Amino acid sequence: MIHLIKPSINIDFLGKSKPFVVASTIAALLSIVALFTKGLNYGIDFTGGAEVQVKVPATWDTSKIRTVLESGGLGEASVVQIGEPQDHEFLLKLQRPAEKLSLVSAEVEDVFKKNAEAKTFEIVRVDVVGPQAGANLRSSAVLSIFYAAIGILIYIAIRFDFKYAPGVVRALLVDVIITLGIWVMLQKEFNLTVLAGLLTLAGYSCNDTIVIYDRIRDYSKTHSDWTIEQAINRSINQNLGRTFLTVICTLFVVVSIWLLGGPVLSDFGLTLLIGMAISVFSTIFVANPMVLYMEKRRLAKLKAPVAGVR
Amino acid sequence: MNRAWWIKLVLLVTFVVGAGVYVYPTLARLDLDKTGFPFKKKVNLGLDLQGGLYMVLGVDFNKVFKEILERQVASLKDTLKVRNISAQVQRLDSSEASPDDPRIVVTLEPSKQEELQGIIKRDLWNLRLTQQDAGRLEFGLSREYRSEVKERTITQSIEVIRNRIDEFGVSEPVITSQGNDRVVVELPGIREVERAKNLIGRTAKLEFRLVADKLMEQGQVASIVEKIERSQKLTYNEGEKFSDYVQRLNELAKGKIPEGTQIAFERIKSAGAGSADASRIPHLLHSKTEISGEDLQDANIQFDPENQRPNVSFKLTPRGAELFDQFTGNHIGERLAIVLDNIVHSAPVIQSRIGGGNGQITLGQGMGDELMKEAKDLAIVLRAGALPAQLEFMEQRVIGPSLGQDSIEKGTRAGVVGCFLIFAFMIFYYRASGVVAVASLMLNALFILAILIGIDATLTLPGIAGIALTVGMAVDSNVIIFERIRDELLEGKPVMAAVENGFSKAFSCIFDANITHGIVATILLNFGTGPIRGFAVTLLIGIFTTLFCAVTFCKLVFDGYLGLSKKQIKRLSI
Repeated sequence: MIHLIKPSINIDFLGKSKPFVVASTIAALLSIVALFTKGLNYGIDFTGGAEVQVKVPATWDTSKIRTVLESGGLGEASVVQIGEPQDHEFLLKLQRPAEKLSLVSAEVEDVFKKNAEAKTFEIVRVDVVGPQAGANLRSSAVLSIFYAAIGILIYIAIRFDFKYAPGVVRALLVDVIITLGIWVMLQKEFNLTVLAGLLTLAGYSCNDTIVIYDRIRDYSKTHSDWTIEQAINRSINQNLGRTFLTVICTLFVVVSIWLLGGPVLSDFGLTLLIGMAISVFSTIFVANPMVLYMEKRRLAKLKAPVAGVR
Repeated sequence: MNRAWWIKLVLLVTFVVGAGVYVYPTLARLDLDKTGFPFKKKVNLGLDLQGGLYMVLGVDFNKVFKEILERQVASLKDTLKVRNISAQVQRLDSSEASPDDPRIVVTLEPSKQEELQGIIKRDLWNLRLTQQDAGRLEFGLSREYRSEVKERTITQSIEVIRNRIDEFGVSEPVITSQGNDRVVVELPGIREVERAKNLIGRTAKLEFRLVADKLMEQGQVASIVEKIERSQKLTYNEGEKFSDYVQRLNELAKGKIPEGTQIAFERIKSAGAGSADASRIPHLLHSKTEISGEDLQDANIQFDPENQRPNVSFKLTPRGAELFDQFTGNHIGERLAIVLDNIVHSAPVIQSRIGGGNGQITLGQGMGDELMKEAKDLAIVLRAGALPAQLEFMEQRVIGPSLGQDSIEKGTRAGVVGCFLIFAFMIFYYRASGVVAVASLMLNALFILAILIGIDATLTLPGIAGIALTVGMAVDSNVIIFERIRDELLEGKPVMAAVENGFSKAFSCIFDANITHGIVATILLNFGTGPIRGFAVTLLIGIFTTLFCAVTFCKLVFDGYLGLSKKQIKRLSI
């Protein structure tokens, strides 16, 4: 048997968790501040707007494309090369008033037709989102993460015990919020695929936590003489091997999606990569102390009435 | 070896063979028309993988409600006149009320209020009282009626769009409603995007109206328009909605033009799409529609014998033909405007009584090929009927065919590379048991694809990532089980008991972990658009296949291995 983690390992994770709890809370708060001050770099899915991906003649560069666009009155556009250099593909983000948005693809095609041979250019992709559709999506995006958290909270409360639920949700929120914070820092575009990545991350994060909770639940039944701290620490230690193995395996997929999946999937992969890295720590050092806290609160409450009688 | 095991094995083999049959045509890229393979179905590729046009269209219900109320106002005015009740009836601008709920305001003598309410209850049942002061009553459309109108409008819109698309010829279009106020149109593999957009977005409301030359000369109309534009600083800017401009103009012209008439324009376009009008000719038309597109039976392309230019000839229904015959007979010498979507196409003088119900619509300037397409599309929209309301493009996505192919390749490559790394790692770490895990992961991917094909779901680019990710996460189940077994072995339990305990202890944990994925996937399914939904579907399917493969399949293999071997197994390669 090969062992990534020695089976005899016995680390007092709970005892070492305080700095992590503090750090993660600060990081999450900073992320929230960043979200509200600097803000996400929302893509057109959320803001509305027009993006056109074009393949241009081999001799054209960014400035040539700009001149061509200006000649058709489409001057205020950002032009960025994407993909492999030999593909000659560019992404045009066009600034158009809302009422002209639906004409964008026709306008771009017209301009290119006037300036290039029909076979030397190609409109690879057009995304046009009206401002209203974008606004709707933004509000439902926030709601979807909220619903996910609520749904999970309820499920855990039913299947386990209420004392486990806050830990799962707290770890989940820490993962999602810090990932968002990093996304703000990177100022990478936040689009639908990234949002899907965040929700997947939410699922993954709980998954991770639940596996350890399952052990704690198990130990508190089979070893009722252990203190709750012992049960938790033992569970984390027992699961350490599994945690790393699973992370490694999932990362194989996530990293290859990030590096090989092409422009659409790459950000999805990156979101998951960042989130999963955070998740490893939050599961061990954030979710578990919450169980301890909830359990202590419960015990304190049990004692409280007695104190009151005196 | 007991019977239950053999039964399970037979079932498993059946599933695997079945899944293999489902998946084979897709993976082997069979040409379904030519192949002799009995199962003729491939996975549906999403628009992001096969290219095409995706559109979300919003319906302007406010306009629909306003039109309904406008008619109510007219009919109420008539009734009140007959009853000899003097009252002022007008539509309230929607900005004052909630934007989606325009109102009618009636001001009259307070003593007549009850009579008015009686009339409304009897004749205009879809109105409800929203506010009542002495001498002033406010009515709006009732909630039930509004939702009924919404539903009807959406259903009709979908039907009309489908008819148009069918005539245009797109294979496997998807036209559905989203929420209660949107229509989603997916046209896979379409090349002529602009043409399709025009075809779908056009309201195509055809009307025949009399030009009010008798009331006001055309020159005078033009000068009124000019005066309003100058004094009110009203100009039409290219790209804005022309109908909004015309509506504004008509509101401002009230009082300057005779009651019961409207200004409409004939637009002469210069060549080229999206370019400005060369000129606009204003016409003063009677508001009353004499004959509308509902009386149209058929429309076809015809060529003008003189210059071989295409135009669209139409044929009216017998009822329409009779009306047309009578109408033209009564108005010889006057001009009849053919109005399409509130724009005058032509306004010829009625030379003689026109029987038989045939006529034609001439088209504007244009080059041969363009003009031909325009004529063809006009004939299509006329035949398919008018949309019940104006549609607005809320979202448009065009995916070129080369991008789709590129995405398939990149997505598959990323997935395959990721999975192979996992396979290699699992076999390295768990040895023979790792091989079992790898087999279960491969089966997992096979089942997901087979189920996708079986339930006619759509595979999108995020969906491909979803399959790979499911494999990545399904490993977790294997790992949990194997680690449990190892724990049991380390505690000194015999192999048989360790395997048994490992599986049974791991199950609740695997189950719970997968359910939380399920919760997230369900939310994604309800929230996302096309590609994201594809991802959610693969995740959801993946949950079931993972439970099956990791638990049932692996257990079956372990049990088989432990049960079939003759001698007692002392060591497990794990």
